[in-house]
Amino acid sequence: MLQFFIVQNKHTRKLIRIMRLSVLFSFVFALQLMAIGTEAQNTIMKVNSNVVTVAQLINEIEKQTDYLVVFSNREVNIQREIRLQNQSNKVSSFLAEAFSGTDISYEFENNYIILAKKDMLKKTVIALAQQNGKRITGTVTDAKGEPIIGANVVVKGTTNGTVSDIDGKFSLESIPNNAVLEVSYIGYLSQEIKVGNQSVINAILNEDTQKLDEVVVVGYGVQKKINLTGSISSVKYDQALENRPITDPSQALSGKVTGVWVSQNSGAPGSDGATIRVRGYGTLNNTNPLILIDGVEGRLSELAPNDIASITVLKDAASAAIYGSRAANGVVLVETKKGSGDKASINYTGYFGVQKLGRRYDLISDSPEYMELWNKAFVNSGSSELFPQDVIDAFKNGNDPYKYPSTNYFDEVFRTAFTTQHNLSATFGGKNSTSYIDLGYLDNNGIVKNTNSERYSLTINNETKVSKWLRIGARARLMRKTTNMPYDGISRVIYMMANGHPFSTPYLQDGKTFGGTQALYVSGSKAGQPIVDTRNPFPDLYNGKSQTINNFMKGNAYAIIDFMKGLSLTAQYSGQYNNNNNDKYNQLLYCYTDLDGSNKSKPLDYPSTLYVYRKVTDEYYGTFFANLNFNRTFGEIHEISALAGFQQEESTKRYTEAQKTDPAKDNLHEISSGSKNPTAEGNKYHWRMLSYFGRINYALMNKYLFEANIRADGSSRFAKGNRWGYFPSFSVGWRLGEENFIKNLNIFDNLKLRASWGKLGNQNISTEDSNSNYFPYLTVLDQDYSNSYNYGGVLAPGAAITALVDPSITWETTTTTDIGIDLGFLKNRLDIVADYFNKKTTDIIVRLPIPSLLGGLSAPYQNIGKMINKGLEVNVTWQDKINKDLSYSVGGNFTYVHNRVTKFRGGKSPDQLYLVREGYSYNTLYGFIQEGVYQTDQEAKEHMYANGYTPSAGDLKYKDVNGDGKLDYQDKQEIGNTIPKFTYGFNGAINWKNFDLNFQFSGIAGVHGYFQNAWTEPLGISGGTITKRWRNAWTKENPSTTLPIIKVNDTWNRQSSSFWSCNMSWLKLKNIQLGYTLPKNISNRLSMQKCYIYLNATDLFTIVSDKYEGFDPERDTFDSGYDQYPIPRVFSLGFNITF
Amino acid sequence: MIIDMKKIITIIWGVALLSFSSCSDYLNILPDDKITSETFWTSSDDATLALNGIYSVLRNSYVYGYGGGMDACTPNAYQWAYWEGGEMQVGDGSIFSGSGYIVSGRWTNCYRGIYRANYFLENIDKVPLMTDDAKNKMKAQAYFLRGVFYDLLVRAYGGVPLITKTLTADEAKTVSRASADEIWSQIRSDYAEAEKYLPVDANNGEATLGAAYGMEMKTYLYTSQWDKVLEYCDKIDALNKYKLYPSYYGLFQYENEGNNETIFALSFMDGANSQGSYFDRYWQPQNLKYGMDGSNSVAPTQLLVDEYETIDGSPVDKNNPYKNRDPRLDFTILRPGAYFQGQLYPVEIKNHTGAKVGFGIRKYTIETMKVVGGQSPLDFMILRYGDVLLCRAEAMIETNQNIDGAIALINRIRTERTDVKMPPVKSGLSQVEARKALRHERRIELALEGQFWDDIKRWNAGPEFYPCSVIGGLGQLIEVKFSNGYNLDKNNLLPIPDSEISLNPNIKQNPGY
Repeated sequence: MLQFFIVQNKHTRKLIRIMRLSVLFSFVFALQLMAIGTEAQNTIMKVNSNVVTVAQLINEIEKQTDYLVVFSNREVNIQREIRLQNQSNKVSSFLAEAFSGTDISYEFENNYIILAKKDMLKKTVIALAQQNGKRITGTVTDAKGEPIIGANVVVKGTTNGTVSDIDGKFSLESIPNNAVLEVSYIGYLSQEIKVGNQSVINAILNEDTQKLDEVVVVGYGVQKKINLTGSISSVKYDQALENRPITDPSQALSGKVTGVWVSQNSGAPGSDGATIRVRGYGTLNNTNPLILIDGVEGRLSELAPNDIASITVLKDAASAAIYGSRAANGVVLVETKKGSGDKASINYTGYFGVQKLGRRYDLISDSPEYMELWNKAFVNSGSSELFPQDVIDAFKNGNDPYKYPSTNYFDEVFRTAFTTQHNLSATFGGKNSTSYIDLGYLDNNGIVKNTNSERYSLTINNETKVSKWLRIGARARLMRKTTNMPYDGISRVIYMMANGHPFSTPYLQDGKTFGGTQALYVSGSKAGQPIVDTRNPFPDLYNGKSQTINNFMKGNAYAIIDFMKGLSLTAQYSGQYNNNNNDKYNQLLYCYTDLDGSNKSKPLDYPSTLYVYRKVTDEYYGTFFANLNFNRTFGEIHEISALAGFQQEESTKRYTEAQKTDPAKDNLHEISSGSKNPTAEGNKYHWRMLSYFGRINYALMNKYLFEANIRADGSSRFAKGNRWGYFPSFSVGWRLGEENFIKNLNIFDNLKLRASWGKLGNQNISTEDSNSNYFPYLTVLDQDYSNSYNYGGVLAPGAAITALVDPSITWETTTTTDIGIDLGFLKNRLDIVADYFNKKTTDIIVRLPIPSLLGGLSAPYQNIGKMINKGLEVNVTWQDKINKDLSYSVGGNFTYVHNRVTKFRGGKSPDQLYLVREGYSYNTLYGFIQEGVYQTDQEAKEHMYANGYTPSAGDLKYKDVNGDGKLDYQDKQEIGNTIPKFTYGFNGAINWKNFDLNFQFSGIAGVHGYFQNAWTEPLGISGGTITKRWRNAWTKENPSTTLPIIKVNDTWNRQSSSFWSCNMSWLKLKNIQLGYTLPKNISNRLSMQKCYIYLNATDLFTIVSDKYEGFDPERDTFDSGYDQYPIPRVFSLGFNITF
Repeated sequence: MIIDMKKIITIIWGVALLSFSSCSDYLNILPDDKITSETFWTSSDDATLALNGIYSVLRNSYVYGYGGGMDACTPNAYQWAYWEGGEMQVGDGSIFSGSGYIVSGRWTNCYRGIYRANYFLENIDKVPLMTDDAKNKMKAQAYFLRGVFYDLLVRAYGGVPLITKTLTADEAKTVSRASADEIWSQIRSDYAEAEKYLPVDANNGEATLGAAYGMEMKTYLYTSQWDKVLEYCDKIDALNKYKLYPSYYGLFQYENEGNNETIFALSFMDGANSQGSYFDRYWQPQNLKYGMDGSNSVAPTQLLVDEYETIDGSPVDKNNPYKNRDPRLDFTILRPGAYFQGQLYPVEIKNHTGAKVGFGIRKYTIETMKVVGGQSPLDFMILRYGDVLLCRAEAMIETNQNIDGAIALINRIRTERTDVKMPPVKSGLSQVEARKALRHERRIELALEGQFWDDIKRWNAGPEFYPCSVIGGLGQLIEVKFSNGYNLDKNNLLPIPDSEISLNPNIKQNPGY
């Protein structure tokens, strides 16, 4: 029995849709009829005549309303004429008139009007509603309004479903009103939505803090987050990070992750990556974590930030053990973006920013004041004044800024610099193949004039399913970075600034001739001659060029073979080639005090020879690894996964350096143009490793978790017999929250206890390239110039042993215990992860001091040192959605690390400022304790009665610890720790309608810094700057007890002491961002699918001790920070547009 | 799902083979740029390399590489930059055991030379296909050099640990100091060993028989064994090789290096292979014609200038102080109003600290050509015949046998050169008068050659010279050296570096430190 309903569509009048409703009448449904809306039925419509056919009426209804009229030809005679009382009436009234007295009845059902025989009507309606239903469209977004791609939208209880597209859009046909849509996506809470009479359904998914199905990247694979037993932190590179104006991905981790301390030490364009420390300093040697990019060792600087999908940090031994010997300092796993979705999409992100110098040294730049202070320092040092009073007066009274300058070179050398970054990426997806392509461009002008860096990058990731059992993929990354600096680098410019004087100008009146010192005698036989020589940094700032071109290429290919369900083999080869070219040439530039060529001079130590130089470094790293993966669940309660694999690695680094002097003409810059003093150097460094590893995971009833890892590593760095290291780990977890007795408490949404233990290794003695680091077990004779001699003008090559060795040297071992808890409360809005860790490193490869009687031989590398890092880390996040328009999240993380060197050299010894000694924190500051300032010569003499040098009034008074009346190493003490005890960060995000606001604070506490350097020492080492605090230096009239007398050539007050250290805790607003997503209708009109605009500011403000003098305090605390390129403050405007 | 199991087995085999076949050899790699000790001492070339490695230590700044700058330890000169080596602190009495610089530098570098010499002497006999004669000639140089290094040590520190073989790190932590006498006898025995096989003539810079005789002679000079001094002066003269160079100015010029006044020299060459001298860089002023970025870091003092006689014995003309002076003044010191590199040397001489230093150094600087910093080729004479003559004269005075003979030798220095014609010292002086004349002549003749520090110490003359004031170029007081007076017991010796004592409690500190 076939029946046809004819549906006339008002938009396509001629089209007759024939719906097969054979099933319609075959079933009787015991479902209740849904409520029918009455509004539409009451719509008033008009007909032209009082007499119409049924067909004409249906036509008019469809024309004037949204209804489609559904009926069977066999039942309804559409040619029948009907008489209508009114030409204008409700739809329902027309229908009632038209079919009164017939066996046809009508029913409104959604957009349909169904005409059927009275006894069949209900069945028809139900069947239609059930089977035919309506078309539903909608969008799936996350709480921030970002589309979710690939979300599952399924009619509950059926297999009818679809997947959201690149814009998060979906559409489903034939959805009945009584259906319930299930919208789900990994990492988000699933949502059920009753369809009702809606035809547009927008689902907003909230992130699942418990993330039951979320997988986390782990070593050589992924793992369900709920099954994790180790300590792992993950950062999704989402909107908040992706849109920040960071130039190196390492900067993004700052303040984001517990247990990870990130400090950016340099703002130099092209080399502004940050240092990453995972859970403190684990060894006395190289403490850089292992960075793996898509599973292959690399450097974060090789990536454009935009390419990153996620960063995972493996912190404890259990999670890192699969990387064995390389993982003692933690592992950072970076996953890059992949293709997805089932259609192509193009995305553009970019920003335009301005960079400015933040904190600076606060210098006295008023020339008369500066000269008077210098005079005072000379008098205090026992000599006579340097600057005659008439010169000082001339500066005080002179108006000509070129003759009587008071220059602050920070204003001259630094600038507001423009920076911009653009990324254009495309993703393609399909059933069998996905691709991601990204083109990136970065133009970063440094805040120091004449410095800039440009980077071009290309990334291609592709994966293809060749057959049911084979997937192959390939990734390629190309990068070219060009960095331009002055010939001698920024440290030379800063050296000249820090040792500079305010009484010169960058340029003379013509704006191009460099200015010499304008402190000229105004009277006497030397009138017109300079009193001191020139310290203008500009001849160095604009001296020639040092250009570094970095070409980076990386490719890897992999195959994944699925043997059967749960068993697969992954094999990958990766090679990366890194090539660096540094070309340098200089100029001979001079300074003058007048445009007539007076007093031609050069800055201190300025080269007097023209050099042409090139250094080429290239490095090839290749690795092959293969691993078998097994994953099966047995009896629904035993979930077992296992991994077994091997890896081999090889790295070769070579460099060639060549130089000549005196090019035939000074505008020739290639080495061949040089005419004298050819020199060449070249060397090669090489290491190899071979590794075997395995892992077993077992989860019982999803509650009791167990994991074991083992890795065996062999390294070419050690002698045969000491080569292999074995690194096991074990961890357990208990998902206590799944136990009924906890569930019944109704407090926890998630509760998991974790514990792990494991051993990791380290073989990286130093980041420095020298064969004594690559082959520490070999006694070598160094044949080089310093060990060579010459007789009668002829070079006589020589060689000598310069280092002792311990041939039995082997791996360092770090043993880590970790106990952690994961908590979720209040419907998972509150999420807490806390870990206690205890990291013991033994057999640390160190060189203990040996007597100089051995002729200054370097001490042998030996497995001697021991160190512990104990600590606690807590991460708390809270997220909530208040209503449709407003949601927010706040998070905080906090890490405490206690560091101790437990075995090294003990006892009192004349040690360096950054002390490494048993019983102390690594690199503890070590020096004299300042107790005050001597107020009289008598006081000084009595205190230091036995000292070689007798201090005098105004000198610093140091604590004479052993009371022997002299100052020596016996009196040195700890003056502060340089490893921060606390690192923390907190962040927040608010989303309101289309706006979002993100901020990120980060800080360190419980740390000291040392800031004695050419800036902070008055008059540096040879002339030089004076900071404003020296206005309060000790004098008889100003008997300061904190600041000593100002002197030149001052050895006493410049000894390492607490005078030069201070608490260096700081808190900074690392980043703040305000963003706005254009409403859909506007962006669509601009033919964009999405358009996000943001304003961002980084390093906006910092709170730090008053005593601290220097650039931004976010820097290496193992250094005085003197010649670092300061980190800029960046303000930017950015766009993220999807087409 | 159908899988070609054969394929997969192949893959697995491939992977397995890759991993296991490479296992045994994969990790065996060696550096390409270094000689390892296992392959050394297999040819005479290796021995030559190792011997040159010993010589190279002489160039170190705390050995002989600071040249005349060592006079900054004395009233002759002032090291304006306190951070440049510690000579200033030695010269004013403020040096202490933790100073570093020369305190640990002299110690470490001399022992570096000793370690290399010991390593050489222990291993040279392993070399195959080399005649005993060739070996002996090389050994003689190693002995000679070991003597030189111990010589520098004993003069600076007194008795030091006596080490004649290569020590392990543990052994080095237990040795103790030998007496100065033991060290002196070791030095003499090393020189004696050297004298057996050293040639009379060799390349510039290489050890010779004359050098060994001369250095041994000086060991007796330091220990006031005057007869031995005379004996060794005779041996030097018997070689009939050395004489005074006719020009004092020319003696220190590049074109005349290797002349027959040179007995033993530190050899330098130019070019960018780190074989040049830094003297020009340290001594020359800034911004000169040839653009040497000198730093005047060591400057002669007014005290030294005052020591130069007038030619006719009249008082110095205050208005024209450099006229009528011993010509060696201008050959040694760059004074205001002089020409250097053809340019008038500034009235006011400043170093890079902005301080007016008053005087510069001309001796051992090159005026006639452009020199790259650290690449000056001009050799530095560690021992020259003029010194030997004065040593002989001193011995004759101290033995009080032939004072007039000694005066005659002093007068050879004063009159024999074509460009130094000073009136002769008159004969018939008493021993005390002759001693005074001798000491004055030594100070002038060898000014800024690094000899004066040792002379003051061996003469026990510290209290005579100190305290003394250093006056700057504008007549301003720069510093009073040894303002608390010179303590012979303490200041005649450097302190032992405290880092050494803290590693080895058997090593005791020198008195007063």
